[in-house]
Amino acid sequence: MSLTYILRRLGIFFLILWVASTLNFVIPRLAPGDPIAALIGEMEEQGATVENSAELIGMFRERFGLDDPLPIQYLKYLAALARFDLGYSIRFFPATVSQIVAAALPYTIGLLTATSLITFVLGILAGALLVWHSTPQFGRAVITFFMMLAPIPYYLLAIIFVSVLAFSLGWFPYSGVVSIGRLPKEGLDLGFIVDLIYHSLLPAFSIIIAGVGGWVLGMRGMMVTVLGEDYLTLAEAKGLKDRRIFLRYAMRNAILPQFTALAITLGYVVSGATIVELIFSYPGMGLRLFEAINSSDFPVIQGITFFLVVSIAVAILIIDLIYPWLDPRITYSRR
Amino acid sequence: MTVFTDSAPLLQIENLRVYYWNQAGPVKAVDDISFSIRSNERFGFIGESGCGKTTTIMAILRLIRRPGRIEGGRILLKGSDILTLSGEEMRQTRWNRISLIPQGAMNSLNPVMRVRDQIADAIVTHRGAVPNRELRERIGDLLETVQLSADVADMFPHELSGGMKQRVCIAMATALEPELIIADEPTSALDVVVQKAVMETLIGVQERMDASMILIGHDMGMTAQVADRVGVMYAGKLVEVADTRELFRQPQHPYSQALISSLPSIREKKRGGGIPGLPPFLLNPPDNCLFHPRCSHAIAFCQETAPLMHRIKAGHMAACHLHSAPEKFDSGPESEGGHSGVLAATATGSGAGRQAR
Repeated sequence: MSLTYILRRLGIFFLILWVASTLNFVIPRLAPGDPIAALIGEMEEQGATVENSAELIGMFRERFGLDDPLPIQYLKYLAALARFDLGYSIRFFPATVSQIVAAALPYTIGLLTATSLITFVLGILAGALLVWHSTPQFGRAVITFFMMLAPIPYYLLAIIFVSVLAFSLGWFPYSGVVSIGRLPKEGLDLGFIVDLIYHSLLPAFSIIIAGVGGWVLGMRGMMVTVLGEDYLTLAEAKGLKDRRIFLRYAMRNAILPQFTALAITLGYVVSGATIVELIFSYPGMGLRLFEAINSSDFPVIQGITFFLVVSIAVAILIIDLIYPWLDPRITYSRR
Repeated sequence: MTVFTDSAPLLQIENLRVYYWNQAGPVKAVDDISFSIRSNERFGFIGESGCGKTTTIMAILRLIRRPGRIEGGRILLKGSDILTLSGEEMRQTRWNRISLIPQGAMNSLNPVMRVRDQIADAIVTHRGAVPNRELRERIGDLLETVQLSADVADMFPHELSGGMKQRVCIAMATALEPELIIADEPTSALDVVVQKAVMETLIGVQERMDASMILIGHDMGMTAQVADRVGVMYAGKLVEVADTRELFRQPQHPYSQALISSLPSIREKKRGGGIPGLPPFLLNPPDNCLFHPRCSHAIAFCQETAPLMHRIKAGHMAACHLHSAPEKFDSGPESEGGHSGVLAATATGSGAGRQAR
């Protein structure tokens, strides 16, 4: 891989971050009104008399740097952002946005990265097998059945799971990430991990079952195209074993566009699966975002949005960097 | 290379039929053809697009895909019928004994695998694990025999030119020294200069390995130069087989005559004589002799009775009533009333008829 290629990709990465964070800075400031005056105004509306309001406003303005000229504000904002200093949550003051995100992120990443990857692998394999000539009829029938589940929204599945498997049958917990009051012990606590996985099973299943169908469809489409390629005929003429033709010649080529889609999906992981997290009271990013929107906790909304942008940009950067390895034709497309 | 009629055939095809099925019924892409190929022989197939050449060779490799099916016949490779082999036995036969140089060499290499890995794939699958160093050497040698540098092994297909890809395909096809190499228009995507070089390479390798070769080519000039014997196919039927020299000098079947006379000649300036009409629509083919609607000799008898392969002399066969039932033509084709409409349809292109008379 050439150095120019890496530098070019890195350049695009930072450009995306810069544009996104600038938008994040500009858009609120385009809105009419003064946030501090609005805050005080809200307090007064509720019947409180704010005697020293002018003083208070001045203090806040100084504190948040709102008296500085816009370019200075902008530079300060970028500098803070570079340190992941996203300010304070309004609702959970004095918790910082970074703290809130840091608390929710591991759960979300754990749940969604695992389910995204499992969904991807299952969907890709099933989609490829669906059109492969030596797949048994029974296998095709099973895959087709799961594709029928694809249009069911995952939150609907989640509700069914909670009501049947958790409430009625009691096989699974219906909320939380661990049993109530369970804290990890010192060192490696296997029991804690098992508990964590146990609590994640239902949300995971609802995401996986509802997600596989989409990958199956995408992969099947690509696979059909690849099956008509001359190199597949030649692979068969070469007397290669069926499995090798399937994996190294057919799937290997059909999967290329799917990797881009996977990268974007993984990028979105950070935003969480809001509805599933809500249904299962799973304290991930989705739940936090939901709460923040409900309570107009703008710094948190902005912070999560920013993290989302960063993670999608990172995912795309990673896929761009490994793409030349996946598809050798990419590296040489530009000199 | 001289051809001895008494040498045992390497490949013998008997009454092979391959049909493509669709709702309206079977399309008889290959219908009851028989021929044989001797050891060390280069056998050429000529005929228009869609006449069944590629289907025939794909049947020999048993690579006919649905909705196509081999409906009957025998394909004897050194006496044993490969149509009776199990799937796994057939897989082992492919490349080991019969290899293919594909029609579209441009797209026949896996774009995401290095040339080395694609050649190694064929070797390792059939010969088992080979020490890395030995494999490297073997692949380097193979590439050298097709006038490519050993560095090509480390390249990806998109880094190669068309001629280089074609050479890689030839190297790959010879990797296991098969008894039969099937070359399906091995040079059709290349320009004339490269065509000649690639063809010479191919023949060189084939002769060194003592392999037989089936060659399909739209370029009849090339086929005439390269093949020892030639089969002419028309609408799924083999209509004439003869030694190359004999066929091109004295074609016996009216279709062969028309096909060969359509070749431009340097000595004689003539109007490009095509063959009037179009090849038949195989879902609804003409009765019996499939060529009669386009044939300037056709008589009612051709429509009533299918011509069978008829031995004209040693090593020369043709399927035409002109030879198998000459007495029917005594009155001369023009005087027959029943087919005047047919003749009228073909009257515009007289090249074929001129050559025949």
